[in-house]
Amino acid sequence: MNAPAPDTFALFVREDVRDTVRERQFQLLVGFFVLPSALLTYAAGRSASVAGNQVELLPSLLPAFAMLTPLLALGFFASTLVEKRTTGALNVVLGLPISRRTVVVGTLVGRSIVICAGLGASLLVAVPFALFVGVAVDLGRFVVVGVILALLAVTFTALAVAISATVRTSTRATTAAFAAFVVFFFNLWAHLPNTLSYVRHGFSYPETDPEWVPFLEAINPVAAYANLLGGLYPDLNSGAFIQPPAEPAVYERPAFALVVLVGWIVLATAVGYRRFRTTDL
Amino acid sequence: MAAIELRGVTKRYERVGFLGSRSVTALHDLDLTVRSGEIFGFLGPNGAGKSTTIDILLDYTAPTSGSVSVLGRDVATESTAVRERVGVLPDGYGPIGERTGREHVEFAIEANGADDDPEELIERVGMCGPDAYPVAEYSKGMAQRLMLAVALVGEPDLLVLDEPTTGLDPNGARTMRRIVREENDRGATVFFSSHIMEQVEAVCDRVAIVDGGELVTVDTIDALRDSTDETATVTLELSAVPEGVLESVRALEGVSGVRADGTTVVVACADATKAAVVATVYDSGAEVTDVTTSETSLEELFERYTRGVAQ
Repeated sequence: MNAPAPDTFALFVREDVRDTVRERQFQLLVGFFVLPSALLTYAAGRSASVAGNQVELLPSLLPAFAMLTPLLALGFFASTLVEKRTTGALNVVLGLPISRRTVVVGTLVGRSIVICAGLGASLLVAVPFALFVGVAVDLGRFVVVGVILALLAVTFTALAVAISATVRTSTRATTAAFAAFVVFFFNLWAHLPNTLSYVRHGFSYPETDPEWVPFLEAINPVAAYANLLGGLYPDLNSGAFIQPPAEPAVYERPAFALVVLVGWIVLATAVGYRRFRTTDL
Repeated sequence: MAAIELRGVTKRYERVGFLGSRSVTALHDLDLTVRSGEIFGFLGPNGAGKSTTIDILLDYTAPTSGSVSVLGRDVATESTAVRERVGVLPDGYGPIGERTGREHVEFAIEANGADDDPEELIERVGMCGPDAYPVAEYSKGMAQRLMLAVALVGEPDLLVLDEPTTGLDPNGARTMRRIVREENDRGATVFFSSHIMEQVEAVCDRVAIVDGGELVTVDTIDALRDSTDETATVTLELSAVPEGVLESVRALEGVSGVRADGTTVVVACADATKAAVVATVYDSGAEVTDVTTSETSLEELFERYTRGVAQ
């Protein structure tokens, strides 16, 4: 496997980002991020002035953003390559000296830039607006949380691109994206190791869970996000349905959570590329 | 060095389902060599396997078995390098997002690392007006012109054109033929598929005819024409078809086929046998009301070679 020729790779990413602008996807995505961010900041400002106490920006934003980020990544990007395949755009792109790896990895990079731009814009808008309406901002913490959210965004973008590289129709892409969101965000994922343990224990629940059950639970990318955020800032509610444990095991600590998120990005992209490499257009 | 070399290429499309699987063999053990510098026509009816062959050449699809080399490189392992030197007008292409025609050409130029002038290419294929609009709004013929411009980027050594005249008006088709000749004069090999004999006849050095996923014949246009010159069709209108006349006509040397349709008798025979056919029917006592003869055209030859689709 040769490294993608850097010039066509950069070209592909640049034009992919510009495509989202031409198709108004970029503008829409930024809108979907900025609008809730502005509304929530405004609401936090109102409640601060009414109750007369100190309100911080992050706890007001996080619950919405923890849901919005995976949802928008899957919703916007899960049909990217599927659409290009059905319209025949891939026949044009792959008629040029552009490799299939460039198409998959370039789409991941391009769309990651787009969603991070949306996320970044919404956070940038929130800060001056928060100060204006009297909401406190801890800037250092705000930046770190922004980076964590960006990592979550890239993880789900990688899942979305993997879906779009694997399935052949938009319907299936949409269904798979919806399933991925439900499984990860509403943590149906946790039922998997629990059911496994139930079956292995002769169809009854063991009194104490075997060690691999919470380990598998921590592999959920949303759990990893919650563990990463909760481990760094225990007082912040991550906004996910999964609460980090009070006494985290090694695999529930921030460092491991970081590895899990990066692992999902690499694994999803590798699987997507493997399928896409050998597929018939 | 051959521009294109296919060896024992078979392509089976499999569809796995809960209630049994289906498979279609689109190509069966295809061997084909396209020489460097020639204009090669790839002819066949709908469903013969033309586009599948082209998809395999471009690595859009991998063959089930067999080997494919283009410009001396193995397509299975070096497809990106191959596409650096090949210009492609694929079948079933579509616009990339909302990009304009000019943006498509510019993208192709940059991807090829070429220094073409987009203006020049757009002018050459005759799509000057609409180049600033999104390709999604183009008519079929205008999109076809654009894709030709994209294929021409970077002076490719090989042009692969899948049904290039689809949707083109007569002027567009003429432009297409002119460009194919110009590119060939520059030294490029041109491989194009078509189901229209005239298109191929007008520009091609050699022609391959495929049918039902198999290669039926490969020859020069002249050789094909020679083989058709030997055959003619005699159509006789009779008042009634007497007993035994078909048999006696069939017995003549040079007659390859006889068929009666009501009171019309159609005889396929060698050019020199035409008179004998007419004389035989006349002597049988039938009243001949009309006689027409015709030479077999390339079109009819094509029809005769090709009967059916992939099984």
